[in-house]
Amino acid sequence: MMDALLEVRDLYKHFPVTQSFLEAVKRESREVIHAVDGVSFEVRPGETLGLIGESGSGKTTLGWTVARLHAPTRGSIRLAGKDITRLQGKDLRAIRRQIQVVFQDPVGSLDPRLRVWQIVGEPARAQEAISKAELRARVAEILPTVGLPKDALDQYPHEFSGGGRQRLSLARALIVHPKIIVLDEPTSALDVAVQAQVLNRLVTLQRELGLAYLMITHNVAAVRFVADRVAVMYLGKLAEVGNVRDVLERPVHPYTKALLAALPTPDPARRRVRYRLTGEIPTLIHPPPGCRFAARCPFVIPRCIAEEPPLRLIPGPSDRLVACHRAEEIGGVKPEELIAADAGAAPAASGST
Amino acid sequence: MVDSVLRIENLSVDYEVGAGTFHALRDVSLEMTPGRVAGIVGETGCGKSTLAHAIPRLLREPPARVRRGKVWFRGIDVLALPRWKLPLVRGTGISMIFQEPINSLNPAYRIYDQLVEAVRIRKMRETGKTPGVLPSLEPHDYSTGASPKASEALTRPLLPSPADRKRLHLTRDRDAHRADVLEYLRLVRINDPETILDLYPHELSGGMRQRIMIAMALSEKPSLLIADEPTSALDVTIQAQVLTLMKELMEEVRTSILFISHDLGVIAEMADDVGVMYAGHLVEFGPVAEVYSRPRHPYTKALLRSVPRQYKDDGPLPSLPGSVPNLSHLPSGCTFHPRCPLARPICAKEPGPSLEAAKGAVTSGHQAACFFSDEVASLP
Repeated sequence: MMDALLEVRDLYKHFPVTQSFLEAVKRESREVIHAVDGVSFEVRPGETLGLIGESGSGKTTLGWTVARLHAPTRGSIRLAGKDITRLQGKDLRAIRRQIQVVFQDPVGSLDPRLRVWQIVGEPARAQEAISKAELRARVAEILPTVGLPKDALDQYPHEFSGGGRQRLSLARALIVHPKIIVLDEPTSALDVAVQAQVLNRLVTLQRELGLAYLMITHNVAAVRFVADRVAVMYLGKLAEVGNVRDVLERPVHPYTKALLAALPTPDPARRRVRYRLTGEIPTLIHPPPGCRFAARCPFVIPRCIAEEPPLRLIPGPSDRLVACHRAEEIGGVKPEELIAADAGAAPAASGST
Repeated sequence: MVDSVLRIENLSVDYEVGAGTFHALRDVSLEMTPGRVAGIVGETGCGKSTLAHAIPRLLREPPARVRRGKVWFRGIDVLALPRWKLPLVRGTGISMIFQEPINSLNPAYRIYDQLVEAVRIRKMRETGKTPGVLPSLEPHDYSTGASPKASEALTRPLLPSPADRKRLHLTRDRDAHRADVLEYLRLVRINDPETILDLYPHELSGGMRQRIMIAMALSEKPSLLIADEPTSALDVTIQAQVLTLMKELMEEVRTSILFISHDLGVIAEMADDVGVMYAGHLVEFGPVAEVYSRPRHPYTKALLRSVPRQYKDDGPLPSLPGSVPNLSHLPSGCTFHPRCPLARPICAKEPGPSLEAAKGAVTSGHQAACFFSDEVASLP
């Protein structure tokens, strides 16, 4: 077993909800948003862990906390063997050499008044004293690796297309030669044709530089192409973790199945008649007791509501962690079975309850 | 032959802004048969939203300017109507669902008040108290023949008589249409509609708000529903629920829908016919199964191929080189020729290919704007 580059153990991130002015002043609040609620995973050197989840599942908060853009509430984060959970000031800045973030919004994360060399060079300047000429030379060197021309140094972000801006963000992350990059929805603002170019670039860069990625996205197609392993997140907790092919082709957790069944396929011959999952994502302020997916789950049994399922190893051809009481029983149910041809059909495994 | 519910002829729309003139739509022609769902798919900036907004004339003019073309909606020349008559066409004639439901709902009004407005307008038009385009009397069966002409509705006076206003429009009876509103909320599968009525839009989730928008659009019983990226702001599981709902409603209400999306999967799921747009042009149009399985335009083929469906160890994703042209400096001839693998000298000549029956197509309704549409099949 290879040593993990990034090791996250039992991580919690709660945000206080202030309800009155007095509470805000006294900096105390009775209620919290359980954005990340006890998550453990690791990323090995040179691999991509894809983190899939819908909006409100806490995936972005998790990515930001891991990169220490948020301070964790509880738990531990180890980067290359070093505990970075409570670092502050100079020490915190030093770890940014190893972990960088590419943000979701390529417009909002690039300062419109700075030129390319200033934007891309900023992380390097934060790390060391460096002359302007040297910085420009380093930026000019990094631009071709993301597929941008060297002479773009003095342009402004608005002169780039959406794909071009996302490449700029990537170049900015690469300038300090990090070991791991947190990619927060790297292609969600891009069209399919441009997305294909950026995804290809991400994979080539990883091969050339030996980078590890933590790729946060709701886009299953992008994760399929970039990730080696995939973690599925629902309401602040991991539902399923495993090898990308295994999870996407033989999902075990009901939520993973539901998510895959919900993907529209660009094939008119495979039109779905009816999608069976009902209900909406519950609030993170009062997460339901027991399994968080129980309210929407087609396979729910009384135990699911009473007792929270732990993330446990499921025996099988490869390592698979699943947080479901009925993982063994329902493992064989295919996502397509959640798409019913008629309203009356029941899912295959519910007969055994 | 049935009358088309919507016929667009050579519609061209420009945006005139400081940086120049952007040709958002160029010579788009489209015909919609009643009761069918036409999908429009394309990348950002290809003009699909401009098209959606140009039909009910919701474009802000200026900067937008309709250079030429005609939009015929059930016999009404929409572009020739004076501005004050436009509300008569909208609502019960053409209804719209927009991408961000939170932007289309008024934050200061309760759900009931927003929905009841639509119901009230429809009822007033139905009873003839106010003029307006009404759906044909038999919305379920378009196959019997010509749909009734809607143009006559526009010749009636705009305002109801004072007596009628008192009776219908300005009644303070808040609950007059309560039963109707509840019926539409149930139609869009909202559990417990009674409580929803008194809530404000910000108290609802995204999926719920989009259902309210759908209820609002359908309660007008429009002849044409334009859905502009209705599920793009929603999560996949919620999107699947809303799409399922729309599909069920399509069978119940049987209105014609123009469904606009950037997502090839959503279009495959929803549409009967699909139009593919590139740089303001409609480059291909045809039955959805036909276009997806046997595309007749190189751009459609490239677009379909660039959807990622493989794993990392299967090799790089096929991607289209280059980028979408700047709409203010479009290439001459076929706008796709600089990126096209089939490009020959003729493709760069003025004017570019027009939308015509695709060569070698199986069905007659399959059209493509390409000189070499018969060679697309041989592309990788």
